[in-house]
Amino acid sequence: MSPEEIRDLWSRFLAGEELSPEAQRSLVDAFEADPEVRESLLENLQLDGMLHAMGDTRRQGEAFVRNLTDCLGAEHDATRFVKKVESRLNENPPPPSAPPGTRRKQKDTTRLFRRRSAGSTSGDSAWKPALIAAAAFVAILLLVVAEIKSPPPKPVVKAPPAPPRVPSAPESTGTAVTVTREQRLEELKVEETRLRNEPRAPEEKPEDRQKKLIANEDERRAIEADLAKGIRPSSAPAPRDPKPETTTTTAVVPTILPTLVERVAGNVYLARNAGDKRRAKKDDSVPVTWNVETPGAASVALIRFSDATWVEVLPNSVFRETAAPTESSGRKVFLTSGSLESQITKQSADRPMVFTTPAGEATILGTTIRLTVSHDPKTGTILEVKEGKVLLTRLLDRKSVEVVTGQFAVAAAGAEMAPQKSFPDEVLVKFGPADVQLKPGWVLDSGEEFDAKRGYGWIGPKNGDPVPGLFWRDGNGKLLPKNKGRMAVRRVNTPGIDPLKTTDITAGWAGQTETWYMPIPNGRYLVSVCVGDITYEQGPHHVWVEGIQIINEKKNRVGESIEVKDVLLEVKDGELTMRVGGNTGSRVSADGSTDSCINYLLIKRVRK
Amino acid sequence: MLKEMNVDDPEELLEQSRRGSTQAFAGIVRQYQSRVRAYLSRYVRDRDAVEDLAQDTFLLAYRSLASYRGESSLGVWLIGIARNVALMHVRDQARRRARETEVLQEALGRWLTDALEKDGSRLTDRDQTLRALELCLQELPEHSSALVENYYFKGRTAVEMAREQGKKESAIGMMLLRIREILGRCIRTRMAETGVHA
Repeated sequence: MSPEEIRDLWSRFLAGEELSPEAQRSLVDAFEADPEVRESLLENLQLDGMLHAMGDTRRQGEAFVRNLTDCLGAEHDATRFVKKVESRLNENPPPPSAPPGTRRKQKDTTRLFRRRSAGSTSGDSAWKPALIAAAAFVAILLLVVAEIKSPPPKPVVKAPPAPPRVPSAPESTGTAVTVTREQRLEELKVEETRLRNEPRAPEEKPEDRQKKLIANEDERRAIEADLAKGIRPSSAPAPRDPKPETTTTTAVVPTILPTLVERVAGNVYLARNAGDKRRAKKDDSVPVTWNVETPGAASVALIRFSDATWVEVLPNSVFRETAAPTESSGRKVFLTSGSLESQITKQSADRPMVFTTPAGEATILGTTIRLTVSHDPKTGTILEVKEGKVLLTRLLDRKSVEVVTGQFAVAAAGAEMAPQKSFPDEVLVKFGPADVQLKPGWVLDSGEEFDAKRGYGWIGPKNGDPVPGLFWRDGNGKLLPKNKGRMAVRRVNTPGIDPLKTTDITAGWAGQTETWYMPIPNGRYLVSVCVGDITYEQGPHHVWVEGIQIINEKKNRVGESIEVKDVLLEVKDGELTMRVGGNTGSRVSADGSTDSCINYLLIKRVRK
Repeated sequence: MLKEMNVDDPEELLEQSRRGSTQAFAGIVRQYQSRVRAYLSRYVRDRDAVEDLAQDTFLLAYRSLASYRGESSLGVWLIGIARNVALMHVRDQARRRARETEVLQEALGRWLTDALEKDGSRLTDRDQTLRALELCLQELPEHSSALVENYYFKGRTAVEMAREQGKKESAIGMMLLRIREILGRCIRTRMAETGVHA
């Protein structure tokens, strides 16, 4: 094998081409025969890796930092929790039957928030999260057991509905019971821990448990907020001795939240990067940092968090929760690729839910959104807000914009971040002159050049130069010269004829195609196209949408239009593009014209 | 708290990190992640694995901040941790690869593991290689620079670029190979000027 052949094979390998076993063997033999060649090409490979690393740092560097900071923050929270548990256990030693090793070392907790790739085995093993979660759960059970077995301290905080007695409250008289806010807070925390961790009774539905949890959390947060502001109800007793008198734990478990798969369709997997992967089914619990993957055009997963927030992971997407809510921060989730829709339950103002993608970050207090990560870094991340207000931040430069109901915005390198009006679920583009009577849901296109404010249009000026020797006949039979560019035409104005088919844009007279486009969110759409001239035999017509030829060399006869309905296609570059015309050679019509007449374009969004 | 810190000063970030400030440690990660990633990428070709190993490196560093006494620069210390993390990874991969049928991947893994095992005494040099590469990139002709920008930094594939430029995919691959060769020579020259070896 010559040096040039070696370099050729090597360059193809590094560019991602799959080499045949024979080619691979030839390369290995050549490398082993000449250490200098091997040294040189290995250096080349290392540079390839370094350059990729530089690119990855540019594109994902800030997301990497945030992910890591989340891990460390969660570790702190978890460490505090473990310390509290240990402290409680020291005060109330576990019964002799308690199994050894139920307490965890601090350092293990971080693993709960890690993601691992295939084969990565450095450090602690990847199975620890489950063990730690189990250990934490056992620790809480031990606490409860310890409390039950230990002599009742005074005063005892009882579980609702029986409220505890407050001995020192001067207002207490007879059987009337008054509960301090601090005591109620303790009760709520105990209840919250129980609701999060105790298995459901068979008759208790998951949604009932979630409702209780939400009500409990709401009340707890309200009391915490009041206490933080120093607000006390007028009838409430004065603060008591700060020395703790109850024996309840104050921990909020950060990692064992029952996030559930509520619905699956198609192929849905729960996976982590260490290689563990299993098919997801309804009611599966989704551990923090595990990916929910929906490969395939028909795969969808509905994930419901403990606060009733739901996330619908749309086809061909990878999504994960990176950090569960803690005492100091809200839930954090990451969309690696694809799209999702989410309805977010109202979040605490100081602990918003954060959706992150490789390019952007959406901070949310409670709303309904759709988030899309484009395959194309130039298109980046698209956030649509159906209801509410969301702060979208571009990770590259931390620039932020507020996106409100009915708007969408894009976070991508070099892209304008200003929010734009959201694309509706369905829009009909009616082609024709300016006097077309529009119906609700229609927009008019008269062949004008693209205008960002209008939101759609054609590439190039509407009126080009005349094409020698080519004429057309208007509705009155008058012959007119044909120009390059596009012309808006009304064929007839006869009542009773479908107004969708009486006007059109004729384009492509000189054999060229004319291109129309509309920026829209990435996703799947059903597209319908109608072409033809009901007053004259025209064609063959040609229309391509997103590169798919929808109208292919079809002619219309007098009184006839050609409609092709509901062609499914996917927009991946943030623009729906249509080309019209393009007749040349033998495809030119009998009268020598080459144009196509487009009546309308109907675009319907496919949500699922 | 971060606003009061000098986020460009590694010493201050280090001090705050030792006191438990994750925000300060985030500053360290921002400053050093490109070097750590670049180092790992020399020996590990799977980019997802590089991401995980970089995360391992910084988590280990955070937990070991108390043991860092400043005998080497922070960058060299981090790369030392990255090397250990990478070694565990490539050795494990080598065991897995023994069962693989991809002869080139198997051989590459073996050679890269050898290279990494011999790399322990050259960590200071490695810390400077990325800087040399950054400088050399600035010296590339415009066309080569655009090719690097599109392929490595914007994530375009060779297939896409070939289509756009009306070339064969193999031609793009060969152009990239030549650019890397130019960069390799440039780095060696720069490192020799500063008395270290690439």
